Amino acid sequence: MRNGTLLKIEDLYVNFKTDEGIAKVIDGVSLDIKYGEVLALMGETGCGKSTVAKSILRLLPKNAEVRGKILFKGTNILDLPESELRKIRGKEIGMIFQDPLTALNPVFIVGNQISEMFKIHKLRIKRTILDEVIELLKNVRIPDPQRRYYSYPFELSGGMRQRAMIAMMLAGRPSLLIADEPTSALDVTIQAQILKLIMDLRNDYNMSILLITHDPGVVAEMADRIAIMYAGQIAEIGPVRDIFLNPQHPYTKGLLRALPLGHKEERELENIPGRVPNLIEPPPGCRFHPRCPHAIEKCKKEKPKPVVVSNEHFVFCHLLRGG
Amino acid sequence: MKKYIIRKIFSFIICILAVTLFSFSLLHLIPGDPVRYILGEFATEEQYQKLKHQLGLDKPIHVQFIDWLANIILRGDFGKSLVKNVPVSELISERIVYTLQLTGTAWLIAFALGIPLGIAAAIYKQTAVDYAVMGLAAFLMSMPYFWLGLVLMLVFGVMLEILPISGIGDWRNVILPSLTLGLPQVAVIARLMRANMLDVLDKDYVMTAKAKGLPNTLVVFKHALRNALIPIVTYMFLQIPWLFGGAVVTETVFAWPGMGRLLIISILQRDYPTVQALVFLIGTLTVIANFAADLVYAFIDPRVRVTGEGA
Amino acid sequence: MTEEKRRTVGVSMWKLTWRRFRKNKLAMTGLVMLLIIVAISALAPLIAPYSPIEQHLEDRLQPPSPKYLFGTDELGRDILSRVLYGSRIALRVGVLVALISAAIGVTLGLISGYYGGIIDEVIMRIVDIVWSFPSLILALAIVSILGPGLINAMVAIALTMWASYARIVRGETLSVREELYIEAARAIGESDIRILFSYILPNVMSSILVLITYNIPSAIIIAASLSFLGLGAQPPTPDWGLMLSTARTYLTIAPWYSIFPGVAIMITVLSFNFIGDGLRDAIQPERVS
Repeated sequence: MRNGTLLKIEDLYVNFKTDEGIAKVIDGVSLDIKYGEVLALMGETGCGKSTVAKSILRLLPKNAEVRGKILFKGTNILDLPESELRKIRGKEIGMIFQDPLTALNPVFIVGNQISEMFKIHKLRIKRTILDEVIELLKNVRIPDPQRRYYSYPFELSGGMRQRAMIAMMLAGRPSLLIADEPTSALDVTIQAQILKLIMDLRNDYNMSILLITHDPGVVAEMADRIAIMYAGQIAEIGPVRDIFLNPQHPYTKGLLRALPLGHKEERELENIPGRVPNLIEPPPGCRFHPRCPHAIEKCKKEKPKPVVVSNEHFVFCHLLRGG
Repeated sequence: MKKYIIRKIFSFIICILAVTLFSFSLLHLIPGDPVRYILGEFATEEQYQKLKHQLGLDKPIHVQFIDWLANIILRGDFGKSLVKNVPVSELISERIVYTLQLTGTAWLIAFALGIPLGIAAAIYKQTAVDYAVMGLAAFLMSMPYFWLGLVLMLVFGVMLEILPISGIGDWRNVILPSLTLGLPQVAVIARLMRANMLDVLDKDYVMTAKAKGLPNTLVVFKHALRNALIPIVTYMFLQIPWLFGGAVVTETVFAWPGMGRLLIISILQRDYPTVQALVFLIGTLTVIANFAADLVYAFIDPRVRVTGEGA
Repeated sequence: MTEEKRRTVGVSMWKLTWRRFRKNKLAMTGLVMLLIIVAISALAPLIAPYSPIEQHLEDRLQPPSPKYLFGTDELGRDILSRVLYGSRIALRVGVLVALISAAIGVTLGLISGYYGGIIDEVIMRIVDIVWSFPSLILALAIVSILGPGLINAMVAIALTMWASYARIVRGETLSVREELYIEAARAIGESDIRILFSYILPNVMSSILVLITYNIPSAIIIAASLSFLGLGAQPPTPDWGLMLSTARTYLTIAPWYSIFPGVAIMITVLSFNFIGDGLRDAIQPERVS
């Protein structure tokens, strides 16, 4: 199973109806995640990486229109009726969010929010639900879990909240965990601990992980493969090592050139002039062309097709010829 | 929690003091000579002195205040009505039941209808349900109580002839006045409930609840509603004094013999002891209702209950 | 920011607000309704078929007819003419009360926020009490001191409505007080009063405007209620509340009498509420759901 495909996104388009017009937020994204693999989806704020993550569990708001296929273990999630979808949410695919304080319900104790998972998914339990929840809290290394069971989210520190959130999403033993910027709301010192925890749990629970991030440092530490997104399109996808050592897309190059400067998102792209385009009237062809120093006429007209760089390394750019 | 409660008790005491001072001063704030104002131009000197003594105005002001307050606290005595020659407390106790009956029914109507309508409007946002509820609310909130009362009278009393137009009697007499008082509040609560619900449905924890695989009913009625109701429960208390305000008009429209009607008659007849007593009572009720709202809020919101910090 | 820069920011903000407001159908409906009401009150002598106080004793309590479109009242006065003239009173009461209460509230809020300390404490406690007290009861208490009459009623209502202005202005003043440009203004020797009015006030202008738009209809309703209760406008003033007070007596024999003045109040109040909602959403678009 180790090499089979767990999740396959094919030609995903997402449009948002807004007062100003239709925002074409995702423009034909395709990617796949293998069993046990960590795939990082990286890009600037607003590039659509979170939208991709949310469309997997169909968590987008009502004004979103989604087209394409999201195949999970071979079934298209986008075609599932509500009742079937609910069996996948939380049970097969878990999801954790950026800010664990707002992601946990403020008026229920942590224990209640976690034990809910056992009830709704009718999960197998060894003794009582309380024991199971405490076991989970132990697994995510929350000290004094018996007491923390009864804590409200606001009584926990940021790191503890994210651990509780992870515990909740592990209850169903999902085969895929979507982590949407899991550490960007946390203190720098806590970030490393949470990342390590996620990686340890991946091994213990044998999960695949889709990691959404804007931080190349996090990607380098955790991911097996990386997909670079720009303005709703994939720019480049491949094994982390290949992308970091041998970036092909002009955007990837710009993104990584700023890497040693540190983790501040604003800094990462200061080498590329221009700004993220308006997605209501996005640039035609390759959406990066207005900012691309090497853009040619073709870039303004045609959407680039994937070019094979090496075995698993693809780049979406007209400047490169396959071979 | 303790700190929060102490702070609230402190402001409760200050507010009660302010209400007391204000009600007491009503008589003294009358421009010119209050005795002359009450009696009119043609009173004799004897009548003048008698009323001045009855109102206690011949004593130094601090003595007047202490006497007034002591009588209220120790004996429940608000003085004697200038018009009816009976104790004010008697006048009020005859009428308080009617006002409570009216405001209580209106209060129930307001929440029994307002909360579900608001939830429905939020869940079916931007559909016919939402537009109908919000449109109705906009109209109800633009109608003064007295006109809403007249319209209801006209429709159910005059045209359909199914309900009595005014006065007291059996339960059927309560319907129109309490609808008049309650319907505008239904509008307010429905709007508030809808806004809270929409606000909450947008929160991350609602997305978490969905991501967990909860059925929609649990997402809405457990995770969202519990949060959206917190301000509504507080409002249940904050609203009480405003119902008494609305009762003044409603009671006049329907010739309902409650405290509100008494207040208007007393103002028109310059029966100051009665006016003072009613302002004092409604003021105190306002302060108590606000205090209760603060306490209940602290009790139902765990963030306040545990840390004493408002969220 | 320099003075000039702030001004341009201000101008474009109002332009932006207007652009968003214009897209709001309900708000524009409200604005059109209001313009019509303003036109009616300005042109009342020209469009009203009769004088509002002229009695036609031979035509008492007549139902609507071509001669009297809205019917007549108990003294044979033309209800249509009285309703049209009534708009003058309603608008005058609403606008004046809202402006007076805004003036009181803004002044106290500025003082409270700028000076802080014991002054702030005292003012804010008063604000708390006035704010939680049902406006009608408070207005009634004040009328009981001042005596009945339209002017007294207006004063009383203004004294019940200023608290929200004080709260908003105080909050804004507190946050602006520490800003650099206020420090700078103080350093170059600007007087406190000038700082309060020319630096702090522009920042709260939009919130104040929204509040005024909401307070005008509330003032109209409370004033009409006081008139209905016999404590506001006195006969023979063509006041909508006063008309309804008499209409109540004739409800069974002259139902039309109770309808038209009430519809007039509702339309006027509705137009301000629509404008208020539109203005609020246009000024704080992030609050729009």
